[in-house]
Amino acid sequence: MISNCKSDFCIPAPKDYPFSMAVFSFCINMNSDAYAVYLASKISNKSTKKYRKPYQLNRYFYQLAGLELDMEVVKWGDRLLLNVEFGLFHLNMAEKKRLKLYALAQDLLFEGQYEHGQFPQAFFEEEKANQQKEIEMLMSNPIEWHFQLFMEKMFPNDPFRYSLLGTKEQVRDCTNEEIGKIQKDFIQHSQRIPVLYGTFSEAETAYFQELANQGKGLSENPGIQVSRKPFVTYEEETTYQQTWVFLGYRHPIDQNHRLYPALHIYNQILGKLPASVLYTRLREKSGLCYSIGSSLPFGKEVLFIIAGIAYQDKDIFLEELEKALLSLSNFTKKQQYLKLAKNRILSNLQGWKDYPMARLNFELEIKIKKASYTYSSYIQAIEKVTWEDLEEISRCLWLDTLYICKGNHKAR
Amino acid sequence: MKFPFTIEKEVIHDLPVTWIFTKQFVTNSILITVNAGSLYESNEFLPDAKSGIFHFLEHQVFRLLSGKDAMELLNMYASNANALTAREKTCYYTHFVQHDIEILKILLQLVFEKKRFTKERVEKEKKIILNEMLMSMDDPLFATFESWNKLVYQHYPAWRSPIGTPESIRQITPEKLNQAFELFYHPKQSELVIMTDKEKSFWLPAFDTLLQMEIKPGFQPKILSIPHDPDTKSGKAFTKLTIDFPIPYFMAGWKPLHQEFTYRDGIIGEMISQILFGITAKFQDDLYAKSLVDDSFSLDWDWDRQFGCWYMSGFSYQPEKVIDAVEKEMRRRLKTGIRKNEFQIHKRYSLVNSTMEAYHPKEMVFQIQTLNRFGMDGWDEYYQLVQSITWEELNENLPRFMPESQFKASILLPESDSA
Repeated sequence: MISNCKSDFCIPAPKDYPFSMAVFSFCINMNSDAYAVYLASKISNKSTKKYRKPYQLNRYFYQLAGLELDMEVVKWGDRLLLNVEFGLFHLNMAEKKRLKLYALAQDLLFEGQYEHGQFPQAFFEEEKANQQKEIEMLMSNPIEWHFQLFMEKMFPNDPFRYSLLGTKEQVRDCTNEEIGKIQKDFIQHSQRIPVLYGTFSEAETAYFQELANQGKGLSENPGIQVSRKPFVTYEEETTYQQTWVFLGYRHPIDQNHRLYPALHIYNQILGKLPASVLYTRLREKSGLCYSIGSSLPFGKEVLFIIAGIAYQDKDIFLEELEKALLSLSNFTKKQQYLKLAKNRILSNLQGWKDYPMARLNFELEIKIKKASYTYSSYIQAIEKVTWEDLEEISRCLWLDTLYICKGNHKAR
Repeated sequence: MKFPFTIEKEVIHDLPVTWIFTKQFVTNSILITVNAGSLYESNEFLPDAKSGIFHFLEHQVFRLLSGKDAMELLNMYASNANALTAREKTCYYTHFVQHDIEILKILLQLVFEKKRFTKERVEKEKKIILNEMLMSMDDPLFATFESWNKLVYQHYPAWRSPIGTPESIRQITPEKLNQAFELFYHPKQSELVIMTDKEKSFWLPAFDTLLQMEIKPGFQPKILSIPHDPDTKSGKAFTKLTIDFPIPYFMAGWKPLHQEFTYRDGIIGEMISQILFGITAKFQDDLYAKSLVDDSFSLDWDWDRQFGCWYMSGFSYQPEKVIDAVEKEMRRRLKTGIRKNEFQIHKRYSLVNSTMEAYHPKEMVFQIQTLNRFGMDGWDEYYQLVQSITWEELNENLPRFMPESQFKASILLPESDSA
């Protein structure tokens, strides 16, 4: 019998909602093997013992029409995750068919190394070459590549800086055996967290529970102690047209800090709202950039500001940026913007009814970070944020790293 | 099949309106499209204007006559608004959960209210757009696709990017903007699509805003059907260019015969391309197995009523071999056709997919607008159309959609290689 499930990892869906979704996450602390986990997941996704060619696997998957399966390795702050995402569109969908999808996911995850205990060599070589190309392409993308370089400057001793792709050398030198071993270790030592949304049978919930029980608990991440110091500036010449400015700010507000909900409101007002302070002052009023925004990476006590500018405007841009940050304390539209940011966050939270994958990710975040809030207490906390909270955040932010990637602007 | 919404159409104060009523979703969306796309930036319609004027307008209309910024106002209602300029239209849209009639009023105002373009504001906007352009120029794929479109369309303006060029942007003046606005921004040349869980009566008073605006009463719409591309038999074409990539890039595809497409043609084109070269085709597997392509491999069908082409693209260290393989597969398939089981697998998937697509409320306004442009009634008709497509029909259409005489290929080599 399929019904709204009652397990503590289940979120009930509204009546008659035709989708159910599940995320099964494998999670460890971020480390330098991330590239190998990424590579292994790509190879595993290509075949199983039964469906040895990708097109055969895809045809089988098309026959399970109405079911979606996605596997992705992601970096969430200082955590490395392999998320297996199931989309179950259950108009006339038999439970038997859903179980086939879980079995397929399990085969992909655990049976990837079916050729003499290793990944099929051809797929290994193919994906290794693929990842090397991905690295080369990353290096030709101005924002992404320089963001990576900026991360290395700002977090020189912190695993947070590692990219999922790794370095060209790491990928070039790895062997099938090493990647296989790293994948096995990853699966064995990771914490396993299921989150379900919608309607599931008892057999299905039991299946997820059993799989989760086989995982390990996640060890505490010791983190890196950082002290407040004057910021460091780096500037690099590039062949790009545009100049990019990356600013890394630190703060002490983790997910269990009382100001955590306020931090998200602060970020909205500063650089996320379509008419944010940064957008309004630096783009619309001063015409200094096209792209500008701020972001809060999950699970790390930092705030980034990234903007694309003309190099000749660099000094005035930085001056205006500082004014914009300071302007928050004597802002004339305090209550209006506070209401605006709250409304936006609350609207997004309500909108998850139509897009449950976002809700699932939120639950996953709570479980991984052992956060003290829940979906409903977070909503209440957002409603209670005051302007004074934002000013407090403003005072405890400090600029740590300024990284400028200088363009040549030849086309201007 | 029952979908989670119903559709109603009417004209309100000259503006065609499509209502999508739902009780399933909390996300509401409003889309206004104006027939002002880069294809109309021609001497015929705007003799003094240059390319990029509609994209420039799209940025500028957010400044209301009152001096207020419409984006800021829409923000006040927790509404996520944005705009884009395409080849055949400019779109203004917003998604929100908390209903407020003001959202619709602001959107109507930002699109149709008379504007005051000032020199100072226009000059500032030029700086912003030049920065946007630089960002595109740093993305080699931008130039790659432009060169591909030039190869395919040659004398037809579908190749041109709506953003314009630094030179064309410098020549834009408040007067030219005003001229373009006056000619194109009118309810008679626009369309509104709204998806809502509220009753119609909640939103109707907002349309009175149109009566309060200074909108030309006797406006005669221009003939705004997209011009035809006369060049449908341009023959085989192959180019080799250089580009600022570290890895060579290939593009290979076809410009179907008779550059005029119905929505049914669109679905047929999509199915043919996916069955022959998509992820369920052995052909794609073989390219991967020989390390000829990687995850950047993509298959696209870029079409509208009066133009279209479909192609494969991606990075490859052996781009010539990929193109050879595609050409060979084309010849083989033109002889053997599509097998019945290939068609059945894909059709089943397409039918479920067209049902699942109905559960993306943010996309629905765009989807319905496209169906409207093709004279389709709604989602039921779309679903029935997919259902009615037959295996025989796909095979009959193969020579039209994959004409050997219209095979185009392009290789882009890294600058260092070509040197």
